[in-house]
Amino acid sequence: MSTDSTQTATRSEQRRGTSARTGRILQGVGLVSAILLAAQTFGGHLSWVGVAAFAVVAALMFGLYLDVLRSVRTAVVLLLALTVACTLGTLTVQRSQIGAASEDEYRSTLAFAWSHLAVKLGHPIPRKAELPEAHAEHLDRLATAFGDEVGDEERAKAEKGVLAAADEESARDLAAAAPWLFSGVLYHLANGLRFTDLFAAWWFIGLFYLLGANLLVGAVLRRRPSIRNLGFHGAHLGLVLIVVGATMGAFVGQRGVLPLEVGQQSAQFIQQEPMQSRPMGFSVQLDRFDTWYHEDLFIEVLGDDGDAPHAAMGGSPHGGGRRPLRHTEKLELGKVVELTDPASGDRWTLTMEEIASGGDLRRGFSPADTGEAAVRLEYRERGAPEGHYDDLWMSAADPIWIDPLNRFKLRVQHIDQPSHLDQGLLGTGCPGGDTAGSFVLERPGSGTLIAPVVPGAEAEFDDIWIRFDEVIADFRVGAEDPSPLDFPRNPALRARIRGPDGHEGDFLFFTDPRLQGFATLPWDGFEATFEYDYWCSPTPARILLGVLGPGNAVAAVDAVDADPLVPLAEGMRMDIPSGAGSVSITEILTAAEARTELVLDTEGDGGNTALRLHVHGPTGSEQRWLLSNTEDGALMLRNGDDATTGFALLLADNTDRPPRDWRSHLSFLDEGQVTGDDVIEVNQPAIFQGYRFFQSDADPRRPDYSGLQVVYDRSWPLVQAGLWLLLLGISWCFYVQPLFDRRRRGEGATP
Amino acid sequence: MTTTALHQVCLLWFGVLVPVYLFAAWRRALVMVWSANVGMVVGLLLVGATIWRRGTEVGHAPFQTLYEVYLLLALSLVAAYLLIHISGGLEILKRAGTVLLSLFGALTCVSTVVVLWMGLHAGDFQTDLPPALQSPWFVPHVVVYLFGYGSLGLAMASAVLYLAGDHSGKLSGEALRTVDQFTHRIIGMGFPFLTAGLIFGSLWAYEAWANYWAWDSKEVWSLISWFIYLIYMHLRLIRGWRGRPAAWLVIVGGAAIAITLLLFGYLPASITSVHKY
Repeated sequence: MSTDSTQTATRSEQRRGTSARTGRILQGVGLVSAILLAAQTFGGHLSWVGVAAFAVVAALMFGLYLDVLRSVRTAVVLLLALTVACTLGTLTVQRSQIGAASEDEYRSTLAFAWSHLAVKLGHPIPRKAELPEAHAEHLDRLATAFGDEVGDEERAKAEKGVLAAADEESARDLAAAAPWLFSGVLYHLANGLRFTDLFAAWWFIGLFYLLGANLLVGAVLRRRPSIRNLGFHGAHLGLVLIVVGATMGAFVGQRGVLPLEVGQQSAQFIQQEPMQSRPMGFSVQLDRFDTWYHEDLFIEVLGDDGDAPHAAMGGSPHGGGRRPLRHTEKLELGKVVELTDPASGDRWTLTMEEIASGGDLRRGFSPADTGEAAVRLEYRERGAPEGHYDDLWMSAADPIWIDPLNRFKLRVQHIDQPSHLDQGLLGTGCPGGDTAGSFVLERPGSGTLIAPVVPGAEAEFDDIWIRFDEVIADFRVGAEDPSPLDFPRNPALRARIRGPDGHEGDFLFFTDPRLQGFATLPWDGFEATFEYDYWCSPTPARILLGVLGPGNAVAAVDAVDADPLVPLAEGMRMDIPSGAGSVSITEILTAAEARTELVLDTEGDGGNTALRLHVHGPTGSEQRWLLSNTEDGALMLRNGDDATTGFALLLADNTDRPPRDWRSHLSFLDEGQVTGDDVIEVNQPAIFQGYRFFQSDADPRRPDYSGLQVVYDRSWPLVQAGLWLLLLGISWCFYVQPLFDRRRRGEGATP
Repeated sequence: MTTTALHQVCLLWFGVLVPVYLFAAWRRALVMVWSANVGMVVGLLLVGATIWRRGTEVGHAPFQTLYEVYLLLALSLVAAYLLIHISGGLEILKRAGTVLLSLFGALTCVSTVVVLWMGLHAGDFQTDLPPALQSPWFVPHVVVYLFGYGSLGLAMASAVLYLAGDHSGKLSGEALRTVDQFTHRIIGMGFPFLTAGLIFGSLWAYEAWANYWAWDSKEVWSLISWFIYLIYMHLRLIRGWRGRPAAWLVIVGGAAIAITLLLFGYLPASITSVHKY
C-alpha cells in the first residue's frame, strides 16, 4: 500500500517534471524565435554564427539546463571569463579605437604599442632588422600623432612614457621585429578569436547577454523582495537594466558627428559605423562659436629687470612648470586686487569689471609726412550680408594678408616705378598649368604617382586605373544641401578608379582635413590623396596692390591677367579671382605711421579675451581695457614719468596652453523656422527632439569650425536608471543591510 | 610653506609613525597603538593641508596629474584607516591581538610613505584643466574612486597580514579567522566607493564624450578590478571562500587596482586612451 502510494507520488512528480520541462523547452523555442526575428529586423550587428550560438545557449538555458545556467556559480564563471577576456583585450590594441585602414597599418600600430611597452620596461629588443618601408612610414606618423597629443616633451617622458626622440630608435628596432612577432601563431590566434576587436566580438557581447539573462532569471526573479534585500534586488536589477539598455542602444541608437562652420546649417549628421549620413528631421545651425582660454591677470613690478612686460610675456604661469615671475591673479568678475609699489609706496586698487571674448587690437594708420604706404581695405566674403566685412589695414611694412581659409592672399608693395610690379612679385606662374591640383597615389615599396588633376584626364599606376571626372569647389555632406558657393572651400575630386582586382567604382576625395577618412581606397597597400592647389588652380587668387611713392598714382595688378595696371582709388572694388569675395579700397595713404586701438567685437568670432579694469591710483580713477595675447594690450600703472616705478599688467599669454572651453551657439530649424536654440559647451550637451548635441571638437587653425557629436539614444534613461540602481543597491547591501542583520542577531539573542 | 615642503613633512611624519607602530607590536603596548592613531589624525590633517596648498597653487581641485593623485591616495589610505577605526573595525582586529593591530597600523603607514615617496618622484608639473575635466563630476569621480582604492589597498594589507600570519604558524585559528573577517569588512566599506567611482565616471563620460562606456583601456581595467571584488563577494557567499584563497583573491584585486591606477600607461592598449594624466 505504502509502496504503491510512493510510486504514484513519484510518477506524478515525474509527470509534473516532464510537463515543466516541456514548458521550458517551449519557452526556449519562443525565445530563440524572438531573438532570430530581432536579428533579422536589426541585422548586421551580430554575426549569424553569434546569433545562432547565443540562441542555442539561450534555448538550453531556458529549457534543459535552466538550473545550472541560472546559478550563482555560472554568474561567477561568466564574470571570470569576462575578466580574463578584458585583460587579454588590453594587451593588444583594439581595432575599433585606432581606425586603421589596412591590416599593415593595424599591425604596425600594434608593434608600436608593444615597443612602447618594451621601452618603458627598459628592455628594447636588440634586433636591428631592415625596417619595411610601410612600417617605417606608418611609425613616423604614429610617433607624430601620439607625440602631438602629449605636447610638452618633458611631460611626455615623465608622465606618459610616450617615446622621446632618443627612445624612438629602440621602438623602431622592435617594430622591425613586428612582422616576426605579429605574423606568428600568437597573432593569428588573437585575431581569430577577435581579441583585436574584442568589444565588438560576438562572443564577448554574448557573455554579457548571458550574464544579463543569468542575473534576471537567477537573481532578480528568484528571490522575493524584502526591505532587507532591497540592495540585492537593486544591484542585480540595475545590472540587468544596463545590459538591456546597452543592447537597445546598440541596435536602435544612432551616433555620429556633425562638423559645422559658423553660419552653416545641416539637416543630417554623419554616422560613423557604418559610415552614412542620417537625416534628423530638422536642421541645426551654428550661429556662433567661441574658444575660451584660461587667462590670468599677470602683474609685474616695473623697474627690476628692465622692460618688464617683455620678460613676463615669455613665460606663462603654468606652462611647463614655469613659475610666474611676479604675481598672477585668476580672472574673476568683481575681484579687487590691491597693489603697493615697493619703490614709491604708491597704492593702486584694481577691480575686475568685465570679461569679454572677441576683443582685438586694430592696427590702423594715420597720415604722416614720411613713412611707408598703407591701404585700408574692406574685404567682403561672397554671400555675406550687407554691412558684414573685415576692415583691414595693409602696409608696405607688413605687406601680406592671407585669408584664414587659405583661399587667396593680398599683398601690398611699396614701389618707386610702375614697371617693378610685374617683376618678381608675380612669380613665374603655376607649374601645373590648368590643373586644379594633384592626385597622389602611393604604394609603399612600389612608388608614388603624382598626376595633375584635369577633368577628363586619365592616369595609370601599377594595376590601378584612374579617370578624373569632376572637381567640386565646395563639397558638403547632404544631398539636399547643394553648395551655394563655387569658390574652393572644401574642394573635392570625383574620380573613377579601377583597382588591381578589376573592381571599379566612383570615389570622392576631399581636401578638408576633417573628412580625410573618405579618401580610403579599398585595396590594401594603396593610399590616395587629392591635393588641391589653391595658388595654382584655374582660378588663382592673388591681388597685388601697388602703392607708388608719395604724390604718385597708385596701381593694382590682378594676377590672372599678368599686368594691366589699374589706378587704385578710394572706393574702388576688385573681385578676388577665385570668387571668394571682393575687396574695396577705402583709404590710401602714401606715407603713414602705425597706431593701434582696442576694439571689442562682441558679435564677432572669438579673438582675444579682454578684461576691463577699474583702476584707482594716485593719479585718479579710470577704466582701462587689457587684452590677452599681445604686448600692445598691456597696461602700465605709473605715477608720473618715472619708468622704474609702478606696475605692468597683462593678460597672460595662452597660446601654449589648452583652451578652457569651447562654446557653440546653436539654432534648431524646422522647415526654415527657428524653433529652438541652445548653447552647448564641453560637458554641457543640448537636447532637441530626442537628439543630443555634444561639443566635441575644435581646430585652432579654423576659428569658425565646431565639431559636434550627435546621439539619438532612447535607451539612455534605462541605462542611467540601471547605473543609479546598481550604486544604491550595492550601497544598501554593504551599509544598510548589516544594520538589519545586527538587529536580527540582537533579537535572536534576547530571549 | 610650499607644497613640496609640506609634502616632505608628511613623508617624514608617516616615516616616524612606522617605528612607533612596530615598537607597539614588539612591546604589545595597546596604549602606544592608540597614541600612534592620534598621530594618524595629525597625518591626515598634514596631507589635507598639502592638498589644500596644492589646490591654491594650481587654481582648481588638485586631482588631475599623477602627482596630485598620489597625494589624494595617501590621504585616502589614512582616512580609510581612521574610518575603519571609528566604525569599530579595529575593535574586531584587537581580538586577534595587539601585535596584529599594530602591524596593520605599521602597514598603513608604510603604504602611505611609499605612495608619498612615489608622489615626490612623479614630477609636479602643473597644467590647466582641459575642457573635458571641468565638470561637477570631476571631484566626486576622483575622490570617491581614490577613497575606494585607499580602502581596498588596506584590505590588501590585511590580506597580506593574514597570509604572513598563516605562513608563520604563530597565529591561532581564531585569530586568523578574525583577520579574514576584518579583510572582508574593509572590502565591504571600500567596494561601494569603487562602484560609485565607476558609475560617476559613466555618467560623466556621457556628458563629456556622448558615450557612457567606450571600452577605453582604463575603463576596461577599472571594470576588471570591479569584477574581481565581485567574484570575491560571490565566492565568499556561495562557496564559503575564506582564509588563504580569499586572501590571495584580495591581493589580485589590489594588483588590478595598481594596474588601473599606476601601471596603466604600460599597457599596449593605453596608447589610445583618453584617461591619460
